[in-house]
This record gives sequence, structure tokens and C-alpha cells, in this order.
Amino acid sequence: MDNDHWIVTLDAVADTLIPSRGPWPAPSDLAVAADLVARLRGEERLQLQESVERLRKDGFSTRNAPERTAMLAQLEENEPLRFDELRRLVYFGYYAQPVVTRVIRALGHDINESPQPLGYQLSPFSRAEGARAPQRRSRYIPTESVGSTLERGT
Amino acid sequence: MRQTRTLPEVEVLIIGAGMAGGAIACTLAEAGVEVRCLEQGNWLPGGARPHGDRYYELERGTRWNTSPNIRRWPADYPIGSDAVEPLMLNQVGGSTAIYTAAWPRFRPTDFVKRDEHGLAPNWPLRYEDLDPFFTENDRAMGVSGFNGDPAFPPHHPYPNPPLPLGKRGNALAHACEQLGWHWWPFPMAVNSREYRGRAACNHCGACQSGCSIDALAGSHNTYWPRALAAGAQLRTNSRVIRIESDSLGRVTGATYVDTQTGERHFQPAHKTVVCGNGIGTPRLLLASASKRSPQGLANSSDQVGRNLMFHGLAIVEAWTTEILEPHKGVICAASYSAEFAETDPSRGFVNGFTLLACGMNGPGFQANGSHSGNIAPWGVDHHEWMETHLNRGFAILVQTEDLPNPENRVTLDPVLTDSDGMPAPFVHYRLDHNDERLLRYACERAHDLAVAAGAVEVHVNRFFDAQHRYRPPAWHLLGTARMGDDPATSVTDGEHRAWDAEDLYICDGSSLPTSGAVNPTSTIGAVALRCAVAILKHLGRAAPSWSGPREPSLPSE
Repeated sequence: MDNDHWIVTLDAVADTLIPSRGPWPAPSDLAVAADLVARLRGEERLQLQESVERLRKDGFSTRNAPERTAMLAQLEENEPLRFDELRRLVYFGYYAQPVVTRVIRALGHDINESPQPLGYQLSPFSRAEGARAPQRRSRYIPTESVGSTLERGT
Repeated sequence: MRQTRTLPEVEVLIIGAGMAGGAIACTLAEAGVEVRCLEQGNWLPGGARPHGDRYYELERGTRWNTSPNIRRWPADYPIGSDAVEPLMLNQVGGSTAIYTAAWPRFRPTDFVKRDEHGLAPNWPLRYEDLDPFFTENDRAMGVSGFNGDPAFPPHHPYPNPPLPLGKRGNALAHACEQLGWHWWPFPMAVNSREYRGRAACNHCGACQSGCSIDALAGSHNTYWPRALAAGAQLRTNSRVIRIESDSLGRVTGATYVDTQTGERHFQPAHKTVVCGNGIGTPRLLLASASKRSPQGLANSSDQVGRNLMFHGLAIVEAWTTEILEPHKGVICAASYSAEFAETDPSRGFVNGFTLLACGMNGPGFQANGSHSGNIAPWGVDHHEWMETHLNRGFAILVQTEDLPNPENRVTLDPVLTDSDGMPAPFVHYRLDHNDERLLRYACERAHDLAVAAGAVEVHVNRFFDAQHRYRPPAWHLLGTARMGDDPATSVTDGEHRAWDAEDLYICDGSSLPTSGAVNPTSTIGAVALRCAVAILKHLGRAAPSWSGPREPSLPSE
């Protein structure tokens, strides 16, 4: 199906934007493209499809890695807004993957797949922090003392 | 043409169920007044939000975008503009159902700018007049804060202790200490502990889509439950298309469309209160023009829609070597500095600004440049960049006071309409020269702060586009139907009565004559409570018996 072809191309584009390295998986290993496209609203999906279709027709998936990089660099230079949107969506799609969250966690970050339901633990505001707050820095000007700024300045 | 059905008259009709509409409805209903509110949106249950969705960041940029022009929900109306991207929500709670709940007060000088420098008007009230209403509003909303901020007059204690500073709040604090600047934990309408049946915040960091556990207070989970319990009627999916007035200029109620059925109704009222926000309110007043009021309702002064203020806004982001976890805790703000909040004429401009320690959201948002466009490179360097940047930094929100300029205004868009054919608002806004200098200076100080916080990389988003036009996201919609002492330069008196439309009240961000250098919702809520007490007085009813350091009172007639 034609529809599947552009999603295959989108995975190849995503792999070029975010190549696998060390613990970081390639987007295509996670089927990011299909996962992302399923989440888009109609208009956003159509815009993305249009961008990817152009690359598909130019044989993006059949090119080697340097050629793919060159094609995306050309898109970035010639149509920056279109490229920005393509990259934006791919980044959101990649970092929405639970496997990627696990990689980030393994790097020492306390992070969840989504903000809820777990939230995060933070140390409560402490007496020591309160004691550090500067009691005498800054000040407000009482209403009865406002006068004229210009007069105050002189 | 559809027939309009006339409903039985109510004592007070409120248009818009946001911060002001909720506070007024609650206060009036608890005093025994018959209140009905028309709201074009619906209830937005916490569970409907994207906080539990691994695509929460994409959702926040699309379906949950804070701009109605991008979000495009059925209750949204489009907003034309040559300048900014206005942000708002049209649901029960208004924008408080999706805001970040930053809760500073305006300062005493914000009410007397004419006395201070003459480039903005005085309010028809003083800080001291509003103080008891700030206090009651803080209690209703469950504000968490640290008492004793020397940047404000002493006031009644916050109902909840401060929220955690977290690593980024401490980073701003340490930086301020190095620079010898003021800093303080920022007051937030977010529960640091369970309060009045609402949960304590679990620091999930996704406040920009509202709150899925109702730890964050909006009028939808504070004032509205109380209002409904006291007998107020809230009609959702009810879009007001026109405020009606008789041949003598007395406002008689409003015509609205039931957006579920398409039926039109006329809701008569003894008194009508417009609470549609700083863009929705002038839009509705202008769209309610009549033979008697050809310039728009309550607009003989030609002030409706003018003097629009948003705040000058910029974001300075600091990347550090230390992991500061900017994805945790309230996104705006853990701590702040008011070192430059007051006017200092030696700087070459009037008014001041505040600097807030804000979050950066999750990895997808950070990879996409966070708030300042520092986008992770694509290709072979992508992961190395993420490993050295992810969660290592924080955002400094620069918020400056903008001057009221009559040319900055809301008018009716000649082309755009909403789904019921009502003209959309059109927004024009330019920064005044004074405000440009102020914003530039504020960005320089925020840069100093970032460096003092140990930043190894700093990016500044001044919100200027490729053509050097200032195009910020605009949350704070202020000044477009301002109150005042002079009918020639204001739309309402100090008790929110329209000067030239009897029985019409206007109360929301549009009522504020100046913008302050802080987030305005706390002040809008306090002003709304004061407006409600004024309406009670005009109805011959007793003021509510709020306890506090001073009882709320108004000048006698």
C-alpha cells in the first residue's frame, strides 16, 4: 500500500535524524514512524506525509547513509520550515518511546514515561532554605511613599 | 432565521466561567443572590488531560496547545493578529483550567503609576484596598508560599507552606546570592499539601496542560464547586453572541447560542457581568453595538479594546554541567527575583521586571529546543548533545511591565468568524520604546543570572521573528476595558460599573489599568472578589463575612 511506503520512508528519515549509537536504539527498531503517525491530527498528518512523500519519490529509502544525510541537509537549507516540522515531530515521536525513557534512566536521570501517575519526589522546602532567603534584599515602595519617580531619582 | 426563546429573568447574569466569573458567581451565590453563568465551553475533567500519556509533549503542542488557533476545540474562537499568539482556554475555569498558577500579587506602586512616572494611569483603588481580597482569594485557591517576602508589604500568611525549591529553584537562589540580588520562593496556587479536598502536588512538571490531579487551583476546582453548592446555575456550551440593551441604554441581558442544539436564547437579567478575559470581553462589547451605541457597548469613550497589555516576555535558558532536573516540580516557578521590580530612572526607562526560575519540560521538548530554540542537532551528534544537555539547566522567565498604549488594541476581525458567525477578535500589539529598553535590560540581567548559576551555555529567546517583529506568546490579557475615575479614559468606574451602560459590570483582566511585572491571575481574582462585594452592595445585600486581618470593605456611595 502506498500509505505504508511513506511510513517506511519516515522510519528511514528518523534513523537519519537520530542514528542509533551505543544504548540508544534506532527509531526504526522501535517503529517510531507508525506510532507517531497514529497520534497526529488529520492536517498535521497530511503535512508530514507530503514532506515524506517527496523524499520517498526521490528514493530516500534506497540511498546509503551519506546520501540520506545530504538529502535532509538539502531539505533543511531549501525548505527550513518544512524540515523543522519534520524534525520536531520525529523528536517527539522518538522521546515518547518507553525504550528510550529506559535508556535515559540508565544514564542517571530520574524520569518517567509520562508525568503521571507517578510524579516525582522532591525534598520539601526546608528550614535551612528558608533561612537563606534574603530578608533585607529588595523592597517595596509603600503607597504613601511613591511620589514621583523622577523626584525619587534625583 | 432561528427564533430566539426568552428565558425567565435572573438577578445576576455572568458571562464567562473563568477566574473572575467563578469568584463572582461563588461570592454572590453564597450571599443568596440568584446567579446564572453562561460559558461557551464545558467541564474539563482532570482525567481528560494528557499527563498520563507518553505522548504528552506532542499533545501539548497540538490538541492541548495553549493557543486556540492551534488547538481548535469546538468552544474556541479564532483570533486574528498581526503581532502575537494570544493564549487562552474557553472552558469552565477559563484559562485557569490550563495555566501554570503563578500567584504573585501586584505591588503597591502598580496601583499609582500616574503618581510614579505619569506614563500610565492610577487605579481607582490602592493596594491596601485590595489586600483583604488578595487574602481571601489566596485562601480560596489554596496558595502555597513562604511568608515574609520583603519585596511586598506584610500580608496575611499563605494557607499552605511553600512548594519544594528543587534543584533549579536553588540554582536561581544561589546565583542571586552571588550577585547580591533578592530572591524568594515563588507563591503558587498549587497545593504543597492536601487542601480543601484537593490533592497535594506530586511534582510531575506538566502544569502547562493544567493539572490532572487537581493539585493546581483554577476557578473550576475551587470557586465553581462552591458556587454550584450554593445554588448558582452554570450553563455550559452556551456561547453569548450579544449583550442586549434597551432604548435608554440599560443592559437587559444577553443572547446566546446553545452550541449543542443551535438554539438561541435571550437570558434577561437585572444585572449583567462580563468576564470574558482581556480579548473576549472587548470582542463581545464591540460586537454588541447598537443604534444607541454604534461604537460598541459601553464604548462612548472609545476605550473598549484599547490599552492592551501582555507583559514584555523573554526566556533566557542556562545549560549547566550539573543535572538540575527541570522536568520536575511546578513549571512556573520554583523561585524568583524581584531585585528589579521597581522603577529606577537611572536605567533609562520606567517600570520594572521579575525573573522566574522555570522548568524545561521533558526530553522531547528539550530536544526540540526547549523555550529558547537550542535544538539538539540531528545526525551523528544528536545523542552526544542529549547526553551533555538533557536536564542540565533551567529556564529564566523574564517578565516586564508594559505600558498601556491606546494603539495596542482588540478590534473585530473583518474576515474571521467563530463557528456561530460572530466576528473574531483581531489583536494589534507593538512594544513601546520604553518597553523595548526595559526588556533588553531585563534580558541582560537574566543573562548575568544564568552565568552566576554556572551556565556553560546560555540561549536567549526574545520572541522576535525573522523580520524583527516582536511576536511573543501572550498569556496575560490585560487593560482592554479598564476601570478608572474618569469616564473619558476608562470603561468602568472603580466598582466595575460601565460608565455608559446601566446595569452592566465588567470584571476580568481587561479591568486592570496597569500590568505589573508579575503574572496577573492573583490580582484578577482579588479584583473579582471586590467586584462581587460591590455588586452585593448595589443589590442592598450584606458583604460576606470573610475572616482576615481586615474585613473587605468598599467606600460608601
